[in-house]
Amino acid sequence: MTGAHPLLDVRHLKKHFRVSGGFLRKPGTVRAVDDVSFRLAAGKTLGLVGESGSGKTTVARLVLRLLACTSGEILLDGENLATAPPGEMKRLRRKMSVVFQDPNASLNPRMTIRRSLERPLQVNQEGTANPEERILEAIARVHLREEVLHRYPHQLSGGQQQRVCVARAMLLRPRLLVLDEPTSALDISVQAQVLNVLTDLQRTLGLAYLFISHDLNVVRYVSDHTAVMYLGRIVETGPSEMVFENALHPYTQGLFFASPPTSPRERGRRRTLLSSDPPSLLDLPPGCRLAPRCPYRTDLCDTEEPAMREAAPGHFVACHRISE
Amino acid sequence: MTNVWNNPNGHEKRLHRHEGGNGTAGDALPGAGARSGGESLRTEPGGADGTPLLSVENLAVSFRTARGTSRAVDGVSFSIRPREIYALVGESGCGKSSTAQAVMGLLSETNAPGRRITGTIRFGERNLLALPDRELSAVRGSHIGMIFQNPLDSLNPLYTAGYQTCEAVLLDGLAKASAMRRVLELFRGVRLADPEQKLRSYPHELSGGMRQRVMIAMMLARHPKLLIADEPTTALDVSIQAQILDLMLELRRSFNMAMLLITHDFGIVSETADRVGVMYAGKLVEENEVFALFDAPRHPYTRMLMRALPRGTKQGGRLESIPGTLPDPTEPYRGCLFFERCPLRVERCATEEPLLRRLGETHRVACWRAEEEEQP
Repeated sequence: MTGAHPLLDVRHLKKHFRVSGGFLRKPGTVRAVDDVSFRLAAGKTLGLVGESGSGKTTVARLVLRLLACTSGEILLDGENLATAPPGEMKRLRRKMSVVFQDPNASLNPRMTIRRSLERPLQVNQEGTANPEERILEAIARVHLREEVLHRYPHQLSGGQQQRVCVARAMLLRPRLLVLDEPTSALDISVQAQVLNVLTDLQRTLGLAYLFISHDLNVVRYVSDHTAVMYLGRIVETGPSEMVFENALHPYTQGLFFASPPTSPRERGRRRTLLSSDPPSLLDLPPGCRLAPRCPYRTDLCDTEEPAMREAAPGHFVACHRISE
Repeated sequence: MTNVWNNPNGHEKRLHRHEGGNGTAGDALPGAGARSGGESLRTEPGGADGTPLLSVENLAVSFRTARGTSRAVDGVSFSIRPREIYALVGESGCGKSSTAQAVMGLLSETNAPGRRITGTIRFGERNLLALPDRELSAVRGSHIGMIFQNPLDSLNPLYTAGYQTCEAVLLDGLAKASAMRRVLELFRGVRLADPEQKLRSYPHELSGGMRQRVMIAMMLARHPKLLIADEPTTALDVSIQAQILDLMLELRRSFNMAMLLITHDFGIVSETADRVGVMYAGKLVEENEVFALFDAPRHPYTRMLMRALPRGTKQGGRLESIPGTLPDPTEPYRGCLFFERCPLRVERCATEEPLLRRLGETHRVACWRAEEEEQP
């Protein structure tokens, strides 16, 4: 995707969950993430979009190694997270951090904000000489005032809580930040605060973001590159302006056509390209996963899974309609 | 689609029941007898002379809490004309859902102890807030439909989708067999794939989009003139949301139904609404026809909200965020509730509350500086 040495290089990542049979349920395998590869350069943002069940959150959890992958490689700065032993992981984990969707669930309600921010420093025995300085710096970077340190999470608004989470994620000076729907639970005006803070941090600290969201407008706003996932696969990826201005995969097109306009002047532009609901992950179609919903389906799509092809420099699409 | 809406028997029965039940003439209800033919009950009430279908006047809802009385809705007035889609938008805590719940009569003393509601909610010629429970229930059952954000909360997990929808159809006094046929028609009408099989499906076997379609079918079974939709697509994926929005627009066309749409999403407003009311801290701060509102918002809150929406890329510039937080709804206040956060505030705003006033034919704004052309 970019330069010779990406910060994060994910290769053929797979995560399969075995589902045991039970009352009224057949046993089977859910291929939540099925052969996903992408790269993320230092200081850049990769947006991962997709609807429920696309596997985007599973990718995030695999990269953080909150889940062990079934196969594949996750190279962070050249070191493979997928096979690193637990001792190594502790060191590697400091290079990355995470912010989740619901800040209220991510902060301990019984700890003051100061306590919550001290913990990562203590656990990693870092900055112990002068923790106060580190905490104040982190709080200032997310545009919060010192007073919040004495507060408990319930005394803060959703936007303030989420900025505390961002501050905490920054404390150990990671190089990669995984953001899993960081603004989805927030109101518009508060979402803007958090997005602005994230933009500033990236500019000053050169952080890389893996930004997961279902909101196309937000992803377009923050991402340098965008990857679109559908049922465990990346179906289209490339520089954001290419993916957004010239979507080639029918699923991406369907998503864009389906999203409501930003002004009533564009009313009627929206149309429904994709019919019905996605199939169950336990019962995927044999060929292209989108085939049952795709308006351009041919016989080939029913039998053969399309491979990733480069439609334009840097713009990859997995669809039989794209010829090389 | 057509046969779904044709059920003259049901209509007549229902009209009859109303006349007998509470002694009010059928035409006191919105829409009754406005047109000839089997379509009569479904067409707009007094549409020609512009009488509103629903008119909310000076509605105030407050709740007693441990910290004092909390104002949820504070003097809100608006009206909805027949066939019109009126959107109430605002962020969490602005009072949009409480307004909808008051209209639906869901804030009864038992549902919401400690609540206080004042004002009037006129539907046709009746004030819903003054109706005894049984009559309110009759009006709601036959004229106002509702759908909510999470259909799973509204469906009974122990009964099939067909059975639950049938309960609504049976109120028309149909025989069991023809009721089931009608449910099937309704399921086809809301574009449920494989409707025969869906009759026998339990809610957990349906996807989120399908559940919302079942809720819509159930609501349509009562031939409502007003649909109250509280964040109807918020829990759904984009492509499914698009399908449900299409369905709602189609229903408005073929069913002549008005809608009160509650949402926080300006995209959905852009796509569907005719008129929009923007709420902040329990008050309606701006109201306009949808194109005019997006083209020329006049309240600083509306302007800032629109500029906070990400469009384009970050190279395009920073997003506007609104500094500060919502005022505490339990604290007494003077002046404008947006004062603390407002970039345009002047002295007068701190002491005198700007009331919603008319700025143009369709436009109402609650801001002292709304007329000024040059706003930042």
